[in-house]
Amino acid sequence: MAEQGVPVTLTVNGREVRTSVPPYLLLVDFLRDTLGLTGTKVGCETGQCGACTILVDGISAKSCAMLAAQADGHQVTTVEGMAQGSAMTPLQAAFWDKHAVQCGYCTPGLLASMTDLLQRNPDPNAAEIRRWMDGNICRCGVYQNVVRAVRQVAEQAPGGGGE
Amino acid sequence: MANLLAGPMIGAPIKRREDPELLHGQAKFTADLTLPGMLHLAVLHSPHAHAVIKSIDTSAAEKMPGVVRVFTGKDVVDKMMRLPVIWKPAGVESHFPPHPYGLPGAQTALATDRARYVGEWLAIVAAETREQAYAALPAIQVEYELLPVVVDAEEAMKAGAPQLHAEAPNNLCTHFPIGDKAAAEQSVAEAEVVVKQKISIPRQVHNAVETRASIGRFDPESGEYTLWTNTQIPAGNHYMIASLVLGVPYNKVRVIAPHIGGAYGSKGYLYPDAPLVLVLSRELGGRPVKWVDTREGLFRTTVHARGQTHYATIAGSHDGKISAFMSTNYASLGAYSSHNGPGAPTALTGRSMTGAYAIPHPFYECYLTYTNTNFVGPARGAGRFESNLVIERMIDLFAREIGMDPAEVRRKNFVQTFPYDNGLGWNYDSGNYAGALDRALAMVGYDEIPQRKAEARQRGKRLGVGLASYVTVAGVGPSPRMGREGLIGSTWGNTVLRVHQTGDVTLITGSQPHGQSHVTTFSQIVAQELGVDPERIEVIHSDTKGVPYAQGSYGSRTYSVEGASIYEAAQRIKEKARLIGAHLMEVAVEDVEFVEGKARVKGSPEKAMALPDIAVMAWFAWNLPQGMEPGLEVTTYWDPADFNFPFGTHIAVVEVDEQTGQVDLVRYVSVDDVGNVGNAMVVEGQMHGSIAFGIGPALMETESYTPDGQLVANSLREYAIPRASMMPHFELDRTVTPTPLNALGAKGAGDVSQPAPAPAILNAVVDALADLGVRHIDNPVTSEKVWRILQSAPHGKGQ
Amino acid sequence: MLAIQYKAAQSLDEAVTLLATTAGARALAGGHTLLLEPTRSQLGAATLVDLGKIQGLNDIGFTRTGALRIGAMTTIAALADNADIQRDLPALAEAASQVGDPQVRNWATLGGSLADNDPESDLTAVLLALDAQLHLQGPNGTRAVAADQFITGPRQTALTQGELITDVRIPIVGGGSAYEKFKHPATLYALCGVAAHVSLIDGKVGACRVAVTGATEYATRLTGVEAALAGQEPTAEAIAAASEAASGLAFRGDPFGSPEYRAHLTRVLVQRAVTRAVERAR
Repeated sequence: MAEQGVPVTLTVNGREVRTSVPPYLLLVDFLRDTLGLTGTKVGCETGQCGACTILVDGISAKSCAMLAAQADGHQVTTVEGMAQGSAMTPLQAAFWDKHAVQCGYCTPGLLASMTDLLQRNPDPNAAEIRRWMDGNICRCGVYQNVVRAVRQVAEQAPGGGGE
Repeated sequence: MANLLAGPMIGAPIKRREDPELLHGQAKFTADLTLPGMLHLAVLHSPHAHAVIKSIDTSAAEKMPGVVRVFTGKDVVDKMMRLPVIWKPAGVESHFPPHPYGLPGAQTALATDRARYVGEWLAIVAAETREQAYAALPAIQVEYELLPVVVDAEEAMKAGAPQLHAEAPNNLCTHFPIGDKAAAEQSVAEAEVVVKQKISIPRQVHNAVETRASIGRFDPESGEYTLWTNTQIPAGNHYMIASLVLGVPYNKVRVIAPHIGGAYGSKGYLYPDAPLVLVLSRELGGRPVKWVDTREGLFRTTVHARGQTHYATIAGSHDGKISAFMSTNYASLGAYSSHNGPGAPTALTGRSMTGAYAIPHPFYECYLTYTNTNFVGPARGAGRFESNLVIERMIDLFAREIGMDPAEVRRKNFVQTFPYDNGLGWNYDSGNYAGALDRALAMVGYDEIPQRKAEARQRGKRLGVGLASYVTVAGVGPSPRMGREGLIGSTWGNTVLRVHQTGDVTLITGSQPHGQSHVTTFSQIVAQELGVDPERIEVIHSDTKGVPYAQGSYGSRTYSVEGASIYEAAQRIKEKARLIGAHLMEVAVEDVEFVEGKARVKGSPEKAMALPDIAVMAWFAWNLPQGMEPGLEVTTYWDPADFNFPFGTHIAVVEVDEQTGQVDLVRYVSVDDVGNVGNAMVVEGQMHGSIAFGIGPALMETESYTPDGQLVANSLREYAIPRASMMPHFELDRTVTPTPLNALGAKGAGDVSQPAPAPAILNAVVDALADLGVRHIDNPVTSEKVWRILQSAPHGKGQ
Repeated sequence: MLAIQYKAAQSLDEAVTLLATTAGARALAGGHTLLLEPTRSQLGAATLVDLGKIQGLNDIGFTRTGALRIGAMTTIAALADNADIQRDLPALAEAASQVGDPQVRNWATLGGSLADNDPESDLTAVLLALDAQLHLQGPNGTRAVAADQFITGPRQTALTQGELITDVRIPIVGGGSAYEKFKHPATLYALCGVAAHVSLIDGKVGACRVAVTGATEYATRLTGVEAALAGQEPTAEAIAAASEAASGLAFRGDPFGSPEYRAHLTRVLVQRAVTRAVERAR
């Protein structure tokens, strides 16, 4: 496929990736199959579940709804790249504190969505947090604890409500 | 290091040991695995609900890019047996296709001559990439001869209905009656008040966010088959695949369940893919093969749940006492039975029909039929979702009929003394049902509901409040009892607990986690009992190469059965450590106790041996008590004496928009009693999940078939699942009534409260519309359904 | 899927040329619609022309005539968050803030959403009600098309082969606007959505435009409602009476809403949207 591929240069989790991708390849398949970043999940084909949510230039995106070729020139962050090594971001740590993880399959997508939310609104209320989860289905039912986790991040941020 | 001596570990809301790898995206699920030389599979589904397969031509598909081979039923029919059914309802006649070993049979892994439901597997493409495998599917040519279709369980029994299996005349698998029908009928005939209601409970689709997936590898050198699959029952799959499908030695099969992305009952089966990927790998010379389902495939072929129609009767007197309850249930297994298909509609629904109430004359019967539909099997709240929806709706109907507050009717009829034989086969262990009810009423502010209704009416909303109490059988199970029920298998718990010479601990459990926090909760038991830091406890599970035959996780059995087994193992380790400690300290055995991780001389706490020191001496074995084996390791098999029965009361408050019919769930209160808990935070999380899994079918989730057998919902665009913004903040509390049946005093918790939300919400909506003469609404209570009721209400449109 | 080809256009002119000269070419904007099932399976051997690298298509600003000009590649989230839109065109901000879910709003674009003309789109009804002009560029040059003329049928638009939406211009004419939505519980798009724009003259309805989406096969002006409202004092009774004129349309149906129910929702949401638009116009 490489000879008919689309040349792309993008940054994935802070590392530059220069390669060529098949024109049909979805970004989620590129991340999982080509780069081996299997933390990003696939759940449906129709854009409802949000398990594949990642950050593109810091903005939450469904990686099943974008081509790998479209990521050319962009900065992609997956769950593997949110923190350094075994460290956790404040949001990851709050998910741990508040039991916002059960089976863990929707977790990477939820982390990406909530990271985006907190960047836009460092002090979201419960209703805003719930609405921002509209693009993520968790069948285990962790939503209420995600609200608690995001609230913890907001409350612990410097200045009481974020930066 | 956690301060173990500061307080009990069991029950403490400690953070999960499972989480870091999940939060870092490092946990591997089946679809995340890649093996060298691996091929990818795509499955051709039958597009027809009932058809003779006249021919399948794979030649064009085999010439497609990357395609290695295309398999049809004829290619594998001689290489594997029909899938088995291992639940044959006891005491009644039943009819299944035959399995070669004389067991009831299910389907063949690939259809050979006839397809009986949309989605039935007809052929499989093996190709170098997943895209290539899927691209080849349209090139397979199949010639069908269409047959008439039946999709409704009740219709299937009628004369002239299309017949699915020669072995099952009138499509009837079984008729399953329990209770004293004559006595119940007489009680109804003599009763002051009799209320009848048909209650239809449509199908729910579990819809785990992770679809099913399997990877099979056959090693031609060793003859060993290895299966990676997201199953809740690795050992069950292992046994059925080796012994009942492939017919190969048990120890030539290994089943590994990687991380699982939610199951809720849908992954507790033997599905065709599991043995197929092993056979296909063998046929392909040992190249590993990988199959990952699509969401559409999940809707078509991963089990559905519910799908029952009850004709229920409740009878009693004007003072609120209920004397009889009867229900006749029509349910479909699907086109074939899943491996435990008959279990939910027979035992789980049937024996649970009386709910939390002491009803002198109960009767239940179920007609279980085959239809041209996907299999039906247990889902979170299996069988008891249905029974509880029926009894809790009937209690409310009875209360309205006699003009008594529904809370008061419940209180008047609650089981009060324990143990209690409910007359349908369950023996309730312990409870304080009124305690949970009263707490829930206080939390919701039941007395203030009339003011709230008036206030809502000012805003064009009809406010309704609905109660649902529940008692849910849990802790599967006592093996002799399960055998009597018809299960061809066992359900005990088992544990291997090993204290290494370093003092580190390995716990091998037969249970299989998929979100329920086994590693953390089990560590807490061992940590408390042996005085070991949880971080030094390794928990091994889900790989049948290292784990003895075991049951897996389902039906809220894990903590009260496997946990009790672990607790028992820890007691035996403690006892052996005490004996070794006494021997080495040269103190009489009766003067030594094992506490806080030490064998300690009673009254002289400074004279003690810590567990690691005992463990190393057990390993050296230089100086052990006479006749004692070296090592500090035990294996326990723990079979509970009976099931346990968690309970509680939930209350839903809804607001109905008078113009659109939209139902908003504005408050949700739950008070649950699961006895003593292993980790309070984890149990609360399980309750959140159970409530969400009940709100869905109450308000929006449903699957159905068109008359010609096509699914109405084939994707998440067509099947609504409640999102965070559609649910209120859940207000939870617990009461604690330990079970006498295990040393932990623990009852099941994982799915036990799932049966409460739907009847609570339905009761609330009916309450909101009661002045219009509304008596009953089937789930899901969609906006349109409510709007139509508002339009046609005998007392006129909503004001 | 395997047959899909991809070209990233660097400029508007290149995109137009590619779309006009490549058989089966389709423009790819945010992707959050086109690449999802069931659309993805229907792409066949399409060549997707990515517009994401073209500069200058996502500005929001006022024209010299006082219309708000919105670049076609503006994301839905940017519409929802824009202070000018929130102040002057609240119906558009309300609709944008309720589209799908956050990820969709982050990436789906105004132009992509209009070109797709999904029957459940929230934005189409708003642009009809706000009398938007769509500016198109194609192989034969540029042209402006009113939203009424742009939407021509179910998933059909006035776009010709090779033509792209470059921007949308919405006149700022005073009055008030509002959008009311009944969310499809599975897709989160509009089971029914109604947008209204109302100007008042001496307390009576002057210019008035009302449109529905989701309930019908494609977004449609409710001219009967508009006529019934014109010149009326917008009392609750008058608005309710006018909403009855939202009839005679071909309503859609699915398991979440039959045609009869969607017709009813249309009347309810007309009342709610017009009532709020009137409040804002006062």
